[in-house]
Amino acid sequence: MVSGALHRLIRVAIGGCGLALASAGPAAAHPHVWINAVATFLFEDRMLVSVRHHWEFDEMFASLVIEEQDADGNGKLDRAEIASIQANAFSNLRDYDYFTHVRIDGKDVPLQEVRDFTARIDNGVLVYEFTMPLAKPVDPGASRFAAGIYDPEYYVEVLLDEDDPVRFEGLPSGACTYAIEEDSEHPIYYGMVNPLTIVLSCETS
Amino acid sequence: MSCRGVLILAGLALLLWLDVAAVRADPFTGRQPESPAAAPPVERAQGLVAVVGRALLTFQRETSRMMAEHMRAIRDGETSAPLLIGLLLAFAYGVVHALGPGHGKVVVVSYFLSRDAQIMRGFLMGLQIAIFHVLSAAVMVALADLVLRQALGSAPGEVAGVRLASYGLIALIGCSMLVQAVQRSRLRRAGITVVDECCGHGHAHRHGPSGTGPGAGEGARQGALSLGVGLVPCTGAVLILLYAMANDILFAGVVLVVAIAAGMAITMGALGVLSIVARNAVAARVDAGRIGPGRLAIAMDYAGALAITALGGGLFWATLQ
Repeated sequence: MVSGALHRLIRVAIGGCGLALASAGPAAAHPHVWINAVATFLFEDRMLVSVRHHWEFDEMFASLVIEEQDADGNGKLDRAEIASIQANAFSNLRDYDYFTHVRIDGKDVPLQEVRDFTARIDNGVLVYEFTMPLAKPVDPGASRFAAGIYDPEYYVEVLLDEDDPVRFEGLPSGACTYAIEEDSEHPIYYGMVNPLTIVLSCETS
Repeated sequence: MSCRGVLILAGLALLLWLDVAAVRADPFTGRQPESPAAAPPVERAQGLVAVVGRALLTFQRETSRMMAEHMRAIRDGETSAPLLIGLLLAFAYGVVHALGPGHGKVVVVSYFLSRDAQIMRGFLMGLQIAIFHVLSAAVMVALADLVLRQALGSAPGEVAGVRLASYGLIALIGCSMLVQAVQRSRLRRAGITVVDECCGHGHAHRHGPSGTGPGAGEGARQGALSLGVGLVPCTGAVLILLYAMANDILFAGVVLVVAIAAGMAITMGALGVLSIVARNAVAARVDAGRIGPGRLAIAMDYAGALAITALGGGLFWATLQ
């Protein structure tokens, strides 16, 4: 049994942990949170317009968020609970570009603000989904388009899904393929780790 | 690195090799998967550091995941086996976790390279740091109400405060080591033999003008340095304690966190002992060689003190920015 006061304390602590995502400095730089990620590249008229993320969190971190945010404790997230998650355990990632680092011909290209954030609990797994539009549509056939999904501070380790990490939407099948490469130009974790980057190759339109 | 560390590394290297060697083929046809949906293989750097680093990271990820699994089993009413396995996992996690950046390995090495110390001191410091590191995690969780309420509104100022205190303390002790180094080199120049200050042999020594006590003073310095290093809470321990509290198995959480501390103490202690052995080995050579032992001792005194001051001061400054 946990007393009421203790419960409140746990809640506050856990809420803080959501923000610890953003707060961990070099001293706490080992990965402590893990994300299994699937990235979907959305096209319109053969032009890449946005990236949609699907993130599944590790159980320990997920249970902390769920404990704090699933206010009615029914194992499902309603609209208010999702809004609270977005505010308390997601929006801070803005400072980290939502772990999304797009580079076109080697140049950093910032994405637009996140759209369509949603969260749910899938068989006990905490899932976030959200879309990041590009400032202007890009033809990946005409330039080298690379997207790395990683936390530069390595508090969170983003793992690209083993079987199906990258999907395309709005394209005839086979129009684009991808490769996953180590990005040795932008090492993280004191230069010890080369983050992975998704490199698209498409037929020129 | 401890013997255990070498064994673990060797085991991980083997696991990784097996992993690479296991080609993913279609079990029915024996062909490689061709479907465009299948993820293409990733070209990975194959250098020793990269491979070992990846193995250590994978190890931490897997042990962390398995710890969560076993804690769930404990919550669901099984206790003995999951707790025992969880304990071993937590211990191994601690050993490997302390190998990563941070945790004050540079401080430990600098400290023991700069002074004569008994072997036990090295191990003691590892233990002290690990205990403080995990204890501060427990205190942080217990005081979560105070500490993290700030975090909900804006940047977690209190957490940065803890880091500042840690780095500041390290820098201060570095300064005190510098002062000590100056005193000792003056004494040496004045022709007074400086005897091993650390260990309190029980017979009378002549001490510096300020009359700093021997064993007790050095022990306090070492303790304070350990506190400085260990003050930053172990995030892994914080998460495990919170997870345990959320699942109403606080006892299991505490047991696991103690096991993590024990694992970290092994790694840090081994590092301390290694530094002491290295210094003794160098000193033995120098005694037989041309450079006077006094000069080398002075140089190492200064180098260690400067390294610790610079590290503490540098991190303090970087955190302030």
